[in-house]
Amino acid sequence: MQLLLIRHGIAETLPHQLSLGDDGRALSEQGHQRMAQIARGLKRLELRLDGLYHSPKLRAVQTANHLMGLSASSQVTSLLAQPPSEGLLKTLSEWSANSCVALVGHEPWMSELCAWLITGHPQHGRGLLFRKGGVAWLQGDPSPGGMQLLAFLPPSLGRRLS
Amino acid sequence: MSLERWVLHLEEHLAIAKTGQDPEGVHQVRVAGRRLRAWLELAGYRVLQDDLRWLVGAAGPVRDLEVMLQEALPVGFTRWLKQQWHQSRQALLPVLEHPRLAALLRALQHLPALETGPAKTQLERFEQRVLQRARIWKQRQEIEDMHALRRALRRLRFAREFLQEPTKDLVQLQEALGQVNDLAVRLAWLNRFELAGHRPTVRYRQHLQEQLEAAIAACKPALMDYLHQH
Repeated sequence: MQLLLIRHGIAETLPHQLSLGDDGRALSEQGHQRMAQIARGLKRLELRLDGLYHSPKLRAVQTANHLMGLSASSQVTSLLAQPPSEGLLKTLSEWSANSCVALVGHEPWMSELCAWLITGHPQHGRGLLFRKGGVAWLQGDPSPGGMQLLAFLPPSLGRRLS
Repeated sequence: MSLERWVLHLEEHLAIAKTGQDPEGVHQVRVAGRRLRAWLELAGYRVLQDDLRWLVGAAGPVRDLEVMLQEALPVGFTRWLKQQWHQSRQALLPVLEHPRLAALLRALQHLPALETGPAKTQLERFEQRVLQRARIWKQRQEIEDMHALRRALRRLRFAREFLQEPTKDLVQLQEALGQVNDLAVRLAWLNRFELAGHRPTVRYRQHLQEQLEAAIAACKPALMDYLHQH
């Protein structure tokens, strides 16, 4: 399968209501603008998503919303608001080999997931620089060490493609 | 009611739906789910729609059966419907306990309030969809088109209510279309009953079909009124 790992866009420092905590931090105006550009850039690469999973945190919900023009469906999952788990890999393994799926989540977990899928070791994620709006494009079997990194698109490249 | 209130309404009724002791639980889960879908569209969210659709869809058969089981029906059909209700409940329970639902509630609880300006622009899409559906139905006169119009009207009503706009012009047509849907649902379950090899309930079927034809006929003036007004 092809898998896009996407870190959420630039977010506000504080939640839109203080009582909401970290889950309530929205994308900033700049975050919305850049994610819209990145989504256009991915569209120009002719990427079509069969599925899109995202964390329930507001900044991930809003990031995923920008990507809905590329996807046939979406699903919210708390598995993307925590360290990468076997449960997440099991979810991915339910897709067929020719599927293209995207995950929208947070650091350091996206880097850890990326490293886990490429090398089999999540701790190698420390060496990856996953910027906000950054995209890792992987291909292969969604199991530890079962995937190959096709491209690591920094947000600026996504924007330039738009 | 605001988004916050409807999320709370959903949470409260999920707890009731889990017990299975009050039909209002599943009914209000569906009501809240549909209203929240309208709110999401007004707010420009395409995400979370599938998650709500999944929940509302999973609760559908239980709701249909709970409504039908409140009526006096042929004895054999009632017995079969009760079996179907138990099976539908069994299928619904894992959905009500599913981590996807917990994640959905978590996401809904953190959405910011509706911005009235952009929402009013979005509302125009709801209005246009209803008019388009009404014209298609007028042209083709198919029952599927009536169902599509009913869904579009319901969504428009919910959207207008979020923006505290009047809904009086929608009520008559929505009620008439609701009657058609209720009867079509009953007929669909009766078809399943008979396809499962049970003895045909000829008189009850005939009664339903006559009622359905009358309900469809009653919709036409309401539709013409609506199209005339818009």
